[in-house]
Amino acid sequence: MAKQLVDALKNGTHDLNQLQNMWTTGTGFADGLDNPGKVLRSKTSASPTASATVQVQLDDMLVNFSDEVYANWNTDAVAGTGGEYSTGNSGRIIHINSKGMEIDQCFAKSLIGALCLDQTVNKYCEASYQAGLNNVDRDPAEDNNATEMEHKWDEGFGYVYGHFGPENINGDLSADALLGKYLNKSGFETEKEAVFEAFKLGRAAISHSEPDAILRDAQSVIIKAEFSKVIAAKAVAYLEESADLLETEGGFSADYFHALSEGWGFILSLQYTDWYSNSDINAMLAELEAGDGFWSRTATELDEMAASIKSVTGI
Amino acid sequence: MLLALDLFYLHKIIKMKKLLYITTTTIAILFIGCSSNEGQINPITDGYDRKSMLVNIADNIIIPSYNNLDNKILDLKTSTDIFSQNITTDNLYDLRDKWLKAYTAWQRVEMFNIGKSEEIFYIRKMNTYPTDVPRIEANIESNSYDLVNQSNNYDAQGFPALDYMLYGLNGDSMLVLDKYTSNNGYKYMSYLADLVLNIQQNTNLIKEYWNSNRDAFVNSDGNTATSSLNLLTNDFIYYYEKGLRANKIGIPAGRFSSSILPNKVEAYFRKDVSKKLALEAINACHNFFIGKAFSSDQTGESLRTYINYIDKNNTLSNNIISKLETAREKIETLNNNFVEQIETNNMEMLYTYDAVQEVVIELKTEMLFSLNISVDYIDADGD
Repeated sequence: MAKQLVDALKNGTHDLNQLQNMWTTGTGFADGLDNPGKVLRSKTSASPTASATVQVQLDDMLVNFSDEVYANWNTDAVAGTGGEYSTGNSGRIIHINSKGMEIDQCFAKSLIGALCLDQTVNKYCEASYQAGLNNVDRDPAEDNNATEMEHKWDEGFGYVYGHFGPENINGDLSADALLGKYLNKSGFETEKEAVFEAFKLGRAAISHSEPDAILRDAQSVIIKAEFSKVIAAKAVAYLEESADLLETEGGFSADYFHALSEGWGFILSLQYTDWYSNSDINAMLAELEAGDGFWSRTATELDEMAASIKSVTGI
Repeated sequence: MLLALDLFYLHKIIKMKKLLYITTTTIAILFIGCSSNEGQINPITDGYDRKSMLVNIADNIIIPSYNNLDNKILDLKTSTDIFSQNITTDNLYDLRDKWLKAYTAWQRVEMFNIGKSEEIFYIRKMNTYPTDVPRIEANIESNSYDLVNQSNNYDAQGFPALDYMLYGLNGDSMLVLDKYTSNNGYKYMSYLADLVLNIQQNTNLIKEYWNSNRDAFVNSDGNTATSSLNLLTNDFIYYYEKGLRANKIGIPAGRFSSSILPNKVEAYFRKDVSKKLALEAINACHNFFIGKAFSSDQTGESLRTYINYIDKNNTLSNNIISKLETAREKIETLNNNFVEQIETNNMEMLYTYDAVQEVVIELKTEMLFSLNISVDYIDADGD
């Protein structure tokens, strides 16, 4: 579902109403994916500690896409005007808004934090949420005989290892478009292993004949810490890559806008870790969007922001 | 054990749709005989004098607050009687003034839902909004309705219904008077009088309850699900989460829906007192938390002193007070008229929501854990 919405933003196949339908009502998807019970927006930045403003930021992003990108799909983008852009050595073709933001990338990478990370570590697997769940009653007709506590832990698991949406019957992490995908990438083998072990151990702690809440909560902390490292590392990597592209290509390439858009989304996602608050992040995003946005950034600015994140997070 | 877990999760990854569980003997062992102590309260005698807190809260906050409300309702009743005898603009204005004073007094007590209050659905009858306009009009037309026992009428009475009767008739607060002077005016006047009468009678029941049950309340000083302090604390947190955070701010700002819902603000028809009522409410929460008396600046035993006693330091309680202050300041920055705020700059409502929400986390996780009190409700998000 998230993938279909992001693809729609990437390929310019849906107008604003259609995008908003997918985002807010769980309908309008192709291939029988419609599910009014699973609404992306209502699960995004929805945990108790998540800001209520991020859903609106993403609402506005869809409107901005419609106004500045979709409306100019076939015209060339320049600073201050959205459209199509393909300058640069790689020949990549992208569509950006007036500030050089490739909206599908910004949106998708934002969901990694605001949807996947937030739901998993700040809600389903989070200690106080888990503590309030029933771990005694089972109903063979419900949730496959899992207790409420087991079931919710598994939901957290599902936000990472499964598509958010209909069955991913191959369970293949590489087919996932969001958090699972990044966990599966090279460079994160340690984190991938640690997260999987923590999910298993936490689940065992719940299901054991003598459930161990302390052990479970310790796994929850590990899961959050490991995922947070992945997100911070990607934010830094995309900032540094963008800075490099500015220097090596001597101008604004499509690859640059693409990379920085991804970085933007990972930076937004950082507010769901313990390192940054919503206002911290908005300040960083405002720096990236100042002036003509990505058209106005310098390699120095981007490298400095990357260094700052490294310093705060210890990456 | 871990090999079984590997198999377990490997199969889970493969069959993600329903998270099917492989029922091998090994795996089955994981599920047999699960038991959990979570959710049970272990009565701990921490040595804190809970009764002293209950006495302070009951005598210096709850009872005086209900008395104050009762007095304001009496004024409201008198003003209603005068208006019914003499339907003039001046009398309508005076009635509106008394309504606001009573509604303001109400904000101090909505967090309490003990005994009789819970029994007669007092809060639902006094302040369910948005009010159901078609239902009110149908009641008026038929002149046959039950405001006491009929739950469908909870949202056709109380302060929100009065808001409609004083500001919403004819769709324009400037044209309200015409409704009362029209041919059907006597029907509207009758319903108006009935609303006020019910508000008064319901409040009387609560007052009587506290007159006769105050001792039983303060003497119930244990730590079980039905002890006074547990009920009181749960009511307080539930109110903060639902009555204040969700009802006044979150729901209208669209936090729990896909669009804004400005028609769901408190005092929707009057429009420009939503902020005033919200401030009164958060002040009431602050005062309750620090055990400040209704009619003086004196503070006594309270959740704050209890937390400080358990923690042997003031860190958590100061944190809560500081966050309450931040939330209050945020509310202060909003437009008096929440409808206008939501429609012109809803982000500020959402930032206010965030600030209010931060206190929820402290109350529900840190404070309840510190005091070893369990939550007794499921969730207090949108309706």
